[in-house]
Amino acid sequence: MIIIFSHQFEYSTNVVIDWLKKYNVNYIRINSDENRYKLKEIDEEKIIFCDMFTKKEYNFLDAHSVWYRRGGISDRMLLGDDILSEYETNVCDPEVKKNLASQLDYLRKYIINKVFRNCSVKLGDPELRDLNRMMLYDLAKKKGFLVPNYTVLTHTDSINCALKKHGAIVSKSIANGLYHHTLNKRYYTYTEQINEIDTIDLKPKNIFPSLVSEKIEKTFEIRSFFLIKEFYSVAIFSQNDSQTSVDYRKYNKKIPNRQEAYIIDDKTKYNLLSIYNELGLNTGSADLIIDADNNVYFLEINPVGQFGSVSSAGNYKLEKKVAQYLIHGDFN
Amino acid sequence: MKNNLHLSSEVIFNSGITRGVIIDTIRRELFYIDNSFIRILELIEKDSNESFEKMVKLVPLPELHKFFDFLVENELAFYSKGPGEFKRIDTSWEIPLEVINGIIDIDTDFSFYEKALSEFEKVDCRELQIRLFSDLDLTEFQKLVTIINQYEFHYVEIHLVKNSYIPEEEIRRVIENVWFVTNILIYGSEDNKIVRVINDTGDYFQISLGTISYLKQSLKQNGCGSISQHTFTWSKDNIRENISHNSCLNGKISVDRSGYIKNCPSMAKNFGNIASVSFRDVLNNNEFRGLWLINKDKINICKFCEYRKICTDCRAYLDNPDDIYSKPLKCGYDPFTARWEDWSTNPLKLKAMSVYGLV
Repeated sequence: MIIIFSHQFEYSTNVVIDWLKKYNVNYIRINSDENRYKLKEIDEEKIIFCDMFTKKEYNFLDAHSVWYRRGGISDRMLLGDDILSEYETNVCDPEVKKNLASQLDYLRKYIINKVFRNCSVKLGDPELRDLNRMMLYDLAKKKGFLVPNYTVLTHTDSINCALKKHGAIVSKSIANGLYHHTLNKRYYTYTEQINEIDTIDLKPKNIFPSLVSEKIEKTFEIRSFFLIKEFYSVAIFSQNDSQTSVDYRKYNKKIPNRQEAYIIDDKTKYNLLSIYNELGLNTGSADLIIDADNNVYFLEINPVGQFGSVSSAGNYKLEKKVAQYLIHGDFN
Repeated sequence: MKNNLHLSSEVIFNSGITRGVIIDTIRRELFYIDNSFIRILELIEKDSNESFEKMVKLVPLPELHKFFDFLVENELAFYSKGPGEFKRIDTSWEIPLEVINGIIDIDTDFSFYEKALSEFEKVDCRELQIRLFSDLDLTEFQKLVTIINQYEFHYVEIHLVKNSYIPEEEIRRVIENVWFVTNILIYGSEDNKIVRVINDTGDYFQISLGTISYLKQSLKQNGCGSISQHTFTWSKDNIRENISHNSCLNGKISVDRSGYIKNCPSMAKNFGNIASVSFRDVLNNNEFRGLWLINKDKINICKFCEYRKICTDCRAYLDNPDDIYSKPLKCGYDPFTARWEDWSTNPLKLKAMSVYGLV
């Protein structure tokens, strides 16, 4: 049996599961945004969850293989609807609430950790769902990569210092970017270039700690999906188009950027491998930039990044490869 | 040449009997070239530096440079850069699903409708086209929708004939309430127009739920199978599929208005009635599946056509009704002259048209 942690509408998970079905393999998909499974019992030998649709019970420790795609185990899965509503309405004291939440967190961690340790095949890591960007910059540098120089600004005055120091700068979010919808607005944080003109009207004052980094003039950028030992990469030619040159996610739908199947050079491969090894990760998506002098800059690794577009741009059939790995622990 | 020239991963090319074509799959553009340049593209694909001598033998140097410039200007190719390697992508096609899409035709007999839906669900078919040839009243229409709502498809389109019993609000409600019912087409309408159905939650950014298409043409059994530049596919996945499979019938199961299981409702050959035969049995039938493998390389005339990788196909209406490898009847393109003409006025097609009741 294979256990997959994901979200309800996660596209890559859907396709991987289509392959698992084709190979007639049993799997359980746990979507953190759905209440299909409910915890029944745990002891030293078993972790029993009940499928609320079929009423069938599963021992998660029967799984030989596990994939942490996204999400995890929600409160609802641990509590069930009745206790959850009781917990939400009746527990008012914030300290008690905090304590119960921490009990749930420990339980969640225990379950996921035990399932992972129990499985012989594992992909992804729930402990490493998001990495600290600035710590990762330092690690990448240690492993031999060029990394854009960065500054954390705390005062408006330092914006111009950063401009002077780095030439051109772009904004980066320190943690994950914002991805938020309200009734009539959607908020996304893109990488934006900051120019001197933006600072002219600023009165000197303290600001929220803000990360900026040196803007690298790119020849093209690379998105590289790592799966066990192999890298599957796509070069994105976003530099010729002013709409996409700073952040290619501002897609130009009229004249889309070219995406080319690409094989990263051995040194980059080696550097990336040693980052993944140090982190203990066996999958992830790395973003790199190639500058005019063929230097490779490291930008980030997203352990749960989307790989559907890399898969289709390079016809890499990554979803099939993931399914094969989950079944056999290799690609044969 | 200083750097290696690479063809873009998004570019596919093809030779035809009179000319070649370069297909930009993402930007949806076609570039016509002489077939001698198709040979150049094949050499670039292998290794542009190593094959350079060969290229010069095929095309004079100034013309060759002009061709390279044309490729680079249109971003169809680019000179290598960066420390890594650009690679030509594998063009194989493979998906985990056995059945890709299905058609249910219904006239006045609704008895097999539910059975058909459950058979489609059993073989994990996600995309469905339902064509309703008779005038339905509102209750009948609502009943059909209630039944389909008990199933989980990913995409359903419903084709209706224009009548006065089903108001537009009702059709709109179906698209809003059944998430996988996406497009509803109404034939025999006064005008051609498309009405978009969007969610109405007051959200500033609206989500498109589907469309209602009004079409002047009438819904006819033999109205399908027309081939034109508008039916070309641009999806790389579809193009890869077309290279090895039939571009209409691959992965398709149909149920005609009498409940007979066929590759396409317009085809004569049936593989039994849905009342007694399961889709599983039909899928195991070699004759049924054999049609999935008739790619354009096997079809007369089409095999000479420069459009063969992006074109759709029709095995129901053929130039020669007795030859399954014959060119689609409703195609007006002649790859030998590179001209599009109206197929329906072509005197050579009259005989076949009368066989299919098209005249």
